[in-house]
Amino acid sequence: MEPQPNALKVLNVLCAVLFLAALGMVFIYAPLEETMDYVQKIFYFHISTGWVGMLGFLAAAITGILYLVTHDQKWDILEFAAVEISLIFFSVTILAGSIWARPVWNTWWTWDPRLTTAAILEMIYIAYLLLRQGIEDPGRKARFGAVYTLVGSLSVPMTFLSIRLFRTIHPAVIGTASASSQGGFNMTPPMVVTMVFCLVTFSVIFITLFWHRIRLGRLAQAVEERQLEAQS
Amino acid sequence: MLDPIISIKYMISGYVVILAVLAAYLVSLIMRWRNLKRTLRSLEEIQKRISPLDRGMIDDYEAIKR
Repeated sequence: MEPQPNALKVLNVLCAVLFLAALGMVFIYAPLEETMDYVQKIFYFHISTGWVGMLGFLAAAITGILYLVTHDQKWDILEFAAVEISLIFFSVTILAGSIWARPVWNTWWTWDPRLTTAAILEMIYIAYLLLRQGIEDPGRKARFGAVYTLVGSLSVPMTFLSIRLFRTIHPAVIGTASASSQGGFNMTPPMVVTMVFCLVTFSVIFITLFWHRIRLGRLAQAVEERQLEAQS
Repeated sequence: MLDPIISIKYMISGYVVILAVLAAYLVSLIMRWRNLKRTLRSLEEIQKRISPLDRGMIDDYEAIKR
């Protein structure tokens, strides 16, 4: 396996710098929200991890389509990498959201449309990992993964639009929120700048992790091929 | 308005969880990479250890089998 390309090394450093800068902006630059005080600061990472999580699930669907068209194994490696990283980020979104909800909504969890669709989305992709493990034939595994991520991706717009389509207590950052939403706030310009900076930071972190995970997938494939060679 | 002490407690908990999950994933990537590298090196060594004489014997054995 070839050593890390220079571009990836640059991305590693850029990630660390951007992440520290994002923390600095959240805790130093962004002002305190009047009603929720400090806990509102969870918002910046909550929304950024949710953004990259959903982006990754959509990327997995696209690579799934590319696999079905080309039958090239490399698209399967990309698809699996995208799902794994997105699951991590989306879990962070749900956990951080739950911690934010406790003092604001007075509950850790409620079966609200947004929270329910987010939980369904998370479970769909956890099931993807479990079911994939049960298939041995690489071709069948890749075909299953491609179709599954394609169908599973339908839940992404459903989760995103749930706060606009249904009556919900979850506030909306972009567009108008439901009249019943609780914990919403008007963003001041420094808050908007911090949010955009965090979105960019997490997008760069996602790309870097995605690249690392693809390299790991290729290495796993090389090991598998060697093992088959050794057995024969 | 929320009590600032309660608010700060939840903010710290939130960021601890976020950082812990991301750090755990990063460590898992590094560990998996190292383990796979080790496995690959061992497989390469095993293949190198099979001398040309052994290879000849394997070929003969397969020829007899056929």
